[in-house]
Amino acid sequence: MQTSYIALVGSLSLACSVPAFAQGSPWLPEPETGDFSIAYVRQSADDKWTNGPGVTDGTLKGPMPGGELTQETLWFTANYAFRDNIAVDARLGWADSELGSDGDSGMVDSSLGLTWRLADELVGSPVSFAVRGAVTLAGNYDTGTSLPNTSGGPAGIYALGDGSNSFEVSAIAGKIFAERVGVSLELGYRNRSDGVPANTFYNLSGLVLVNDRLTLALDYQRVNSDGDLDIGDTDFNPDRFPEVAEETTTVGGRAIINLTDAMSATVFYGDTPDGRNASASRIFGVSMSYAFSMF
Amino acid sequence: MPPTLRWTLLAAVLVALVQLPASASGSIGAGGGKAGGRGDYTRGKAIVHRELVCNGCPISRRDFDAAKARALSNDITTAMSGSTPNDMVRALCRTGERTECTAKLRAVQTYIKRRFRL
Repeated sequence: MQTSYIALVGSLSLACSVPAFAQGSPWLPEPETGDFSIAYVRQSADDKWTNGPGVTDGTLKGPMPGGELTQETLWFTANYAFRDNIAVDARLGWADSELGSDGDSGMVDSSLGLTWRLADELVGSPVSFAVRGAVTLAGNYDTGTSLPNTSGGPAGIYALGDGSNSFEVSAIAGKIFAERVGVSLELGYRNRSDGVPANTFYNLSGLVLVNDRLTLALDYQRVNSDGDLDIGDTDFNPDRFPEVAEETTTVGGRAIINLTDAMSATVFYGDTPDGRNASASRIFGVSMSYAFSMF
Repeated sequence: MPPTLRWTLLAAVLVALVQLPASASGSIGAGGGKAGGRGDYTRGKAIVHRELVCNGCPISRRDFDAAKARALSNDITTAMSGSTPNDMVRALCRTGERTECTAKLRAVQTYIKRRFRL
């Protein structure tokens, strides 16, 4: 009985996965400049990680009985630097998710962050170093309890997010090597409300300036959870879906194309090779950015 | 392109290039674009702190303030108007062609004017 329940819930839970990445950068916009961006992102997953036969830590990979889970998100973001060493960033988005004939849509979590650069490699420091703090406000969506099933399959749960507010802090270091390569590392901690476990996260990025028009990037991101509840534990039930210990590793690549002096386009693809109580998502996205100045 | 300008070009491109990002929800975001891509400010900052304001440079880091920046800006304006450049400006243009020198001076002036709100 327990096994079938695990399969039922685990297979259909997923959109709530990939709980969080940060977006810190040690390279801030020039003072009194910023950018607006609009982005389309599509996530899709055929597999997930949950408990299963002989596995009680939420790391057994298996197919999703409900079929492919997809989510399409439209993001609006803005960055602006007030001073040489202080910048803010904001983001909000709307998403639509589908699993079989079920689905949900709504505003996803919004965030507002502030980055303070403490050391700048351009003014003599060996590396650029910054700290970032951000608040996230929960969006408007179902957090995964009792979504109706009209597909004839097992009832399931999935969500556009965990439905929690959060505050995070991170430390970010970056350095430019050999005139054409940049590397940045971010380490952070995210505290979350409503019983959702806190996260620790780290992001590693490498960027290569190919020419004046094209920059290529590789990204590695890991999110760990302080929680201990796994999908399939005896004390798990759909109401506790946001409380599960959700962990992911994501790798991806980006191409950033400078179209004009003020406009750029970004295309990226990512994959999640490892996870816990999470979906094995493939990620594809495109964005357009417009840079502006206020001086 | 001289090394300094090539290096600072990457620095200019990297501003605000965020990592493959996402949000605190399950919804993954998109990569950031290039902000402030005009780049002269960043180039100017690198040139100033490599060639004018550093240990062993004409100006020590401790002494570089708004007054020094204003004086340097005035010197650059004078030189770019065709007058004989002073030693400080000549230090920026020891090597390279005239167009390269002009680009460096413009970048330096952009940086110090915006950094010190001159």
